[in-house]
Amino acid sequence: MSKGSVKVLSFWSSMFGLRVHYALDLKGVSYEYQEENLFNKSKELLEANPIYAKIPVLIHNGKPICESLIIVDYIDSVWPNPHKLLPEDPYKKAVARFWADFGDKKVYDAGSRLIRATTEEERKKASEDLKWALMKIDEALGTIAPRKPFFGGDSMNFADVALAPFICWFKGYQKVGGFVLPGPEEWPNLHKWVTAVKSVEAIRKSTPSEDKVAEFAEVIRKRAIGSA
Amino acid sequence: MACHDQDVTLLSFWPSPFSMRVKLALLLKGIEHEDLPQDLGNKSKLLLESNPVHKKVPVLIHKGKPIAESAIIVHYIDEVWPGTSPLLPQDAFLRAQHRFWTDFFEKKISDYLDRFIRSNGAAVNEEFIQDCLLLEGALAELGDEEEGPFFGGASMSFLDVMLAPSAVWIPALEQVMGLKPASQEQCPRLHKLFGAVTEHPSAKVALPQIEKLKEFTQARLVSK
Repeated sequence: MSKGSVKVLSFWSSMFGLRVHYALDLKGVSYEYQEENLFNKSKELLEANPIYAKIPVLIHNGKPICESLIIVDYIDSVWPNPHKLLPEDPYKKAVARFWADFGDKKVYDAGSRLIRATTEEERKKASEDLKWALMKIDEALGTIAPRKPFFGGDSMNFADVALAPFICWFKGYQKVGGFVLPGPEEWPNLHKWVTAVKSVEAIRKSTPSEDKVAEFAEVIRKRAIGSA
Repeated sequence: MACHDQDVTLLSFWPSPFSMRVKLALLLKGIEHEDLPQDLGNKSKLLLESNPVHKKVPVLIHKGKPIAESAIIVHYIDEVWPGTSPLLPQDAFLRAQHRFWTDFFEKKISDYLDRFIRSNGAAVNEEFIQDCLLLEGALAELGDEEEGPFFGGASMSFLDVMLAPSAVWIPALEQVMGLKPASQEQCPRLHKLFGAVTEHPSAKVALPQIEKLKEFTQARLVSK
């Protein structure tokens, strides 16, 4: 199992950071974790990610890899087993990549705008966009893996790992942005997926408390309003 | 080696750099395909059914199954047809670098070019030259100059395919809208790379001529 030294630079509430934790923990890879102070970034982070100075960064045998989905792809290549995340079939692989990418383009973007909205108009638009994006995920789950809990079927795959971190932010989106997640009658697949993800031990290991995240979302919002 | 009965269709739009990437990958690998140009002002039923989420081009339809998003499509092409002109590096870390710099290009350079066009050339980006220089640095690190001008050395690799459309788009924007990219002195290897792209037989077919792109850009300026 050991394939050299593995270190993760991240921040406790970062959805992107959580993807890396989830991938490593699902595969049982041991790693050193370093919590970064985003207002006082470590020299190590600045050297490991000179382009963006952002987390997460994976440092494997001294070599840094940046950008969460690229990191997860890398982890899956270096440690394919156990728990392969990318399907072997090229088409299924492309589908998994598509929904992971959708998470960045549509879910994260809308959620981020929701929290940082300074006008009611901005908040409403972001809320609608977030609702649309999550509805698409509910539909996709029904099409890609009908009657199964995950995008990956019975176990989490690349798309599940990419999207799972949003779950612990829903409370924050509600508290700060007034976003109310439609219930299981409307979105049965999404709710089934959320329940299934939350039951995975490896996911529970590094997922922060939703209340703590909601408090943090409040902090982000205050800063956004303050600087507007 | 041409592949015949693979049932490959590309929903394309000739000026789209994302569409060009996929076309280039198909041509590099000699994959026979049907190219169906799309009218983006009046989207076809096929496009809307093939890409219901984003409703965009390019879309690759292989044996009836659609794949969207250019980087994902090129990954798919490389995986299904690995033999000819392999694009992604074998080494996992190097693969991560190719993906990182593709993502950098999209976030920083492609995004700015888009804003530049939409603002009729008004959008300013003090970081643009710096971003070009960072890409030049990446080429120095990842591309062996002795082997050839590309990130892949003598032959085009994934990152070269992702960047190739800039070889025609940047000159078009320069000449029609006054875009100021990095000079040859500032980015000698990138200039050499783009020169090699425009000379490459597959790219000559996959990429539109700069003059045609200039006309397209000019026409859109006038109509605003």
